[in-house]
Formats: sequence, structure tokens, C-alpha cells
Amino acid sequence: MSRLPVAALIISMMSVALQAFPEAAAWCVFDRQAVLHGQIWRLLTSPLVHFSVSHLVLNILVFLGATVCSGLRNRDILLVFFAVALLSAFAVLWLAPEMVRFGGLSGIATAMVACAVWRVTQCGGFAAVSALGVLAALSGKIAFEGLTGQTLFAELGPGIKPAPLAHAAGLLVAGAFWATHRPCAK
Amino acid sequence: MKIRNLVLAVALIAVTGCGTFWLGRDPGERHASSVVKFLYPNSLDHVDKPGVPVLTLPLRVGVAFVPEDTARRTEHFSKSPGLSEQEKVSLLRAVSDEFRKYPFVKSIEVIPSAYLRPEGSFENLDQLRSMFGVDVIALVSYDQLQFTGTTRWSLAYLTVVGAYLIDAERNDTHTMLDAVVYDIASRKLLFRAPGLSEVNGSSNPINFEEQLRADRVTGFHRASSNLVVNVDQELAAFRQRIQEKPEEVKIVRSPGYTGAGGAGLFELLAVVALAAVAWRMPRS
Repeated sequence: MSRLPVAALIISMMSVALQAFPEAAAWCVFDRQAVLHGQIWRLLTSPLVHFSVSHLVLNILVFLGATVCSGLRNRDILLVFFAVALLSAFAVLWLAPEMVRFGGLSGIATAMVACAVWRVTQCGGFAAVSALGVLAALSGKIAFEGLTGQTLFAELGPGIKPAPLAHAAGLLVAGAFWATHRPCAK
Repeated sequence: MKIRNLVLAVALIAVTGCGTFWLGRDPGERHASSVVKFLYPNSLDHVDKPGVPVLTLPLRVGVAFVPEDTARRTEHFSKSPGLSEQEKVSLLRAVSDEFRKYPFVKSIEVIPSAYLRPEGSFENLDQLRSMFGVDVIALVSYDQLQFTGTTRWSLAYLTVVGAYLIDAERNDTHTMLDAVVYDIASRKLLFRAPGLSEVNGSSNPINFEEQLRADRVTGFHRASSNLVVNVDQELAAFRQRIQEKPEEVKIVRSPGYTGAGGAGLFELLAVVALAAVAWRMPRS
């Protein structure tokens, strides 16, 4: 396994802190009107905000687990975080005009899962095939959410719809990251 | 003889000319509009029982000047309008910019005076609501009083030339703008903010009217600057109040939905599987 991902731990702790202080979370969540009125920091902070404890716990478990598996360095974790946060926020801003609020770490978690997949594929053999199968299934899940507006094997809470754009942004950033960096190449 | 007559004639013209400077001039002039008169025209005793306002965020706000009270034609009320339409729009834009900066304001409409009837009441506001699609309206009324008088330097007018050169006319312009913000549906006053100004000017009899007009406009502009500051403060106080007493105003969010990136059981299982493989990989 890889070194301790301090950056991922800090991101997770910040998410937990925002869950504990809803007043602060209100200043960090992606709020369409607020962003359009100049509160642009929300583009970066929205992944840290979650709408329920179960939403937070599942996202953090996946994010931390996938980050450890990906073997990314702290600097790269932060790079992926900022890239996915910005890309998913702009995607929501322009491509989902009805989405007035948005939050959640799953876009970054998806990027980390994709990074972990790519790392595992370097082993070759059955592990690589299995990992690519996981990636294909993940892509299928995102497509399903995008087409139906329903979640698959997840519960977000009443009145909250999935944001497949964030997951797609995660896959795109992970692909671009590996194409340009390949930090864990053998 | 001819020279003496000429001097007498000039003196006579000068004296009567001076007289015309004062004749027919009011010591004060007033321009005013009244929100109460606009909203409750038929009975000053009538009071609507307001309901609990339901503010749908983000708000759609309208800003308009209350029509001038043309019914009041007492001796000091001016028959000319206090502000031209262009000046009104300019002032309303300054006020609307103050609202526009808040994230909970979706849009703001400057409503021209032509859309408001004198004594139009809430029926008129209901029409504006449907025409402009506004939920909340800021009605701006004004009361401007101009006092005029002469100083001892007015004696110089006897020289005729002095009437051109000596500014012995004193003009004081007191202006009050008042913005009241109403939720149209519930007919409830949300908050109000005043804007005050005082302009002390002087002029000579030749440019007296011109100077009065200039002071009038200056008075409105200074009052609007003061109004903008006060609107900001009152808006902050209103936000504080609805947080402390949520029963007074109900806040709902407009249609639209909250989206969340949510990882679930699928991603968790994927991570477990990947972790099992990654565990066996060599450190790099």
C-alpha cells in the first residue's frame, strides 16, 4: 500500500467540520445565485459540503479508500481535488441550470477510484482486466444516473438528486491526470 | 432736460425691475409624493390586515417611484413635477444596484412611473406583479421643500448690474426620500429606509430659477446616496430579524433542485476490490 495521504485526511476532516457547523457549510455550498453574485470560492468549497451524515460517511470512505489505493502524492491529491471541484462546478453552472445547490465529495472520490483503477491496471493480467471492469461499471453507473436522474445503490436524502456531471468530471480529470502525469508508473 | 428724463426712465425701470424679482415668487416650494396616499387612497383610517409574507428565494424585486400627489394643490405645492422621468430612472438604478449585489435577489426591475397610477393602491401593485413578475416592490416616495429668501446684499440689485453679479438670493433645499419595501402578495411592509439631504445655495435674481432646479436635482441625488446607505443597513437588520423571528416571514426556495455527488455501495465495493489488488502491488 501507499504512504499516508495527509491531504486526503485534511480534506475529509474539513468535510466533517463543515457537517458539524451548518452555518459555515451554508457559506461553502454551491449556491447558484451566490456564485453568480461573485461568491466564487463556492466553486472550490462545494465538494466539502454534504447534505446528510450518511452522505458524508459514504463519500469519505470511498474517497479515502480510493486515494490510498491510487498511491497519489499529497500534491497530486490536491491537484485532482481542485481540478475536479472546478470542472464539476462549472459543469453544473452551465449544463444543469435547474440545479440551484450542489455539494458532495463524490466527484473527487470518483476521480480517485479511476486513478486507483489505472494504477491496478499496471499489474497486468486478471487484476488489470478486473480493474477495467470496475471502471466500465462505474462509467455505466454514471450514465444510468445521467439518463434516469436516479441513484444506483445510494441514498442521497429527500429532495436531493444525483449530480452525474460531478462524477463525469471526476473521470475526465482522472483520465487527463494519468495521461499527463503517470505518477505511479512502474 | 432730455438727459434728466432719460435718467428718471432708467431709474424707474430699475426700480420696477427689482420689484419683479420679488413679485409672484413663493417663499417656499414643495414637491411630494406619499406612499400612504398611493396605497390607501380612499380612507386614511383603512388598515389592511397583512398576512405572513412568504418570500420565495431568490427574490424578484421591483423598484418604482410613487406617483406625485397631484391632488394637493395648496399654495406651496408646485404644479411642476419634482423629478423628470430620466432623473427618476437614474435614482432608481442607484437604489436597485444596492439590492442587486445580494445573492438572494434574482432580478430587479426598474418600473417606469407610467405604470403606476396616482392612488393606484394594492390593485396597481398586483398588476405590476403580474406584468413585471416581481414578488417584492420597493416604493420610493419623496418630500422636497425649497425655501428662498434674500440677504442684505440684495440692496445691490438697485444698481441693476448687481442683479447680475451679486448672489443675494438664499436657497435652502430639504429633501427626504423614503423607500418602503412591500411583499405584494401578503401586503406586508418588510422594511423601510429614509434618505435625507440639505442643500444650501445662493443665486442672483437672473439665474434664480435655474439655480433652484439645480439645487432640486442635487438634493435628490444626495438624498439617494444617503438612501442607498440606509437601505443597506435596514436590509441587514431585516435579515437579522427574520433569523431571530422566523414566524414573521416564511422563506421558501424557488423551484430547482439540490444536486449531490453521492458515492454509494457500488463505489465502496469497488474500492474494497481495488484495495485488495493494490495491497499486493509493489511500492513505487
